[in-house]
Amino acid sequence: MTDQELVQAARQGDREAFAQLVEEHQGRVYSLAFRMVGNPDDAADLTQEAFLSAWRGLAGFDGRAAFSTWLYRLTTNACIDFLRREKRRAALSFTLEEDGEERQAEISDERWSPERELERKEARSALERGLASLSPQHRQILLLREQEGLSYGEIARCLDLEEGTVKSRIARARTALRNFLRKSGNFSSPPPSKE
Amino acid sequence: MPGCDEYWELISARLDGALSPEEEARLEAHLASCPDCRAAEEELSAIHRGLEALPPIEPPAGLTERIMAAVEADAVVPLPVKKRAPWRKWLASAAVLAVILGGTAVLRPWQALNASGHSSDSTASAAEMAPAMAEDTERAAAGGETPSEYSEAGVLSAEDTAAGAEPSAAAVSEKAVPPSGPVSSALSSSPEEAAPEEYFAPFSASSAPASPDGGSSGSAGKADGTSAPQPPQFTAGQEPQTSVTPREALELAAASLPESSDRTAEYSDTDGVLFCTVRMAGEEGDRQTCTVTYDGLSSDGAYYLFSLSRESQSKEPDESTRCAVPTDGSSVIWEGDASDSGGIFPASPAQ
Repeated sequence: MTDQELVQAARQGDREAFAQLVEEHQGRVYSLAFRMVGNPDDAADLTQEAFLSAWRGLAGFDGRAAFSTWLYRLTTNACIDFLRREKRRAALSFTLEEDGEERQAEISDERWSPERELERKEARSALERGLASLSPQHRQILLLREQEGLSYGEIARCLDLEEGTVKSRIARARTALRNFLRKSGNFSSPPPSKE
Repeated sequence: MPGCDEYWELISARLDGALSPEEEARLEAHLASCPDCRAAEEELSAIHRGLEALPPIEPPAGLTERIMAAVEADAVVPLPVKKRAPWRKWLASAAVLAVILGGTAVLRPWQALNASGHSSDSTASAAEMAPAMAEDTERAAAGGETPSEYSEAGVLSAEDTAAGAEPSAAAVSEKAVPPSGPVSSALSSSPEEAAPEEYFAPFSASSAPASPDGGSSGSAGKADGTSAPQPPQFTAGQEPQTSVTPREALELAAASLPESSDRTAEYSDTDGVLFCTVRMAGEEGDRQTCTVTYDGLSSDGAYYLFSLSRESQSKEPDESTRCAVPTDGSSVIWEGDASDSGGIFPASPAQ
């Protein structure tokens, strides 16, 4: 069955059809989530969250656009929300310590320990480290273009952007990545005459 | 080199095959005379090829099963159905409970109960409990009152927020977003669901998996999740508790954001950070995400303080606005508004 047929069946409540969609797309969704957030546990949670959102939203899903495009949007949005939450959590605990008060800020979930942060950055290759150093928005758009192979038009629909914005954001993301790689010595050419 | 930015964008677009012939010609002409841009072209091209070649990451085994388990647990459909066998009702109420309490972490005890058989005792108590649950959640959706589950699991007082979430709260509310979205709209849209005869059907072949109200992925819960709960009405001599909870104040603050037709709101208080994410249409028709975060009490204890950060798809994010809600929930004061009499917001933002 094609994606479209499976989606139609799933909209009627056919869980088996949805399970097939999950089976078919989970690899790309997981891969996307993993490269967005940098660790396998959160990636698995976010993959689940994305599919759950898809399941709940099937009734409202257009059906004209590709299911995968919609799914990537749900995935990257969930990842960006997650990264924002984690950033706030880290900031909050830091604030409490700064206050000098006796309260212990218990971080019950050690996913955001400094060690984990380091693990996140110490990825396999310089390129992956560079990806991890980008802002979530830049990472998101580069992954959609390069990993998922979406066209500018598809990305525009996926993220609710103008195509012109997609084009310039991708260029800026690549430039940011390039700057990182130059600073970390991964390109042999000298730094540019003017940044 | 000044003015080369526009060429970097052309270089990038060429990597994606997105250049018109005129742009191509213009770029080639420039590259012929600009060594910096030639270097940029080489490096950006290498980056492009490298990213394309990044291997996909293998998902862990059993991920599909795990996802489908979550999908099954999410099966709340507000359809009136004919009288069903008692065990079916029990399964439905377990599903309702699981969704209310938030996620697979809590489903486990119910799964165990379910597996142990369908005794008439458990049926009776579950059937009794589920209408009460539905009622509770209805009340929560319609007004400011929070059911008891939430006072344990979700809503944190100012001290709790500062000291960090209690372990039980963390366990239950793991990733649980209080379902002001599809669940409560599903539940509250058909009050007769509470009656034992008419029950939620976990699944039937003809039903859609999500209720029409709560259909969109972002949870179109605007009828419930973002409506301002009525602040408690007091007269002199009432009981000592005269303040709204931080969560209720947050709802007031989120509700005071500009109206937008296509708006979703999600609340979260994971591990001591209480905030709300509102997605809506921005002024220019682009999508915006506003995050309202609870920052704590003002130093005189009279106001709950919130900060708003706004991110739109077409602009850089800005994070500069604060608002305050008096602890009696009587208003929402945005910093710099006419109602900001000064002295409410601390001189430097609590960062």
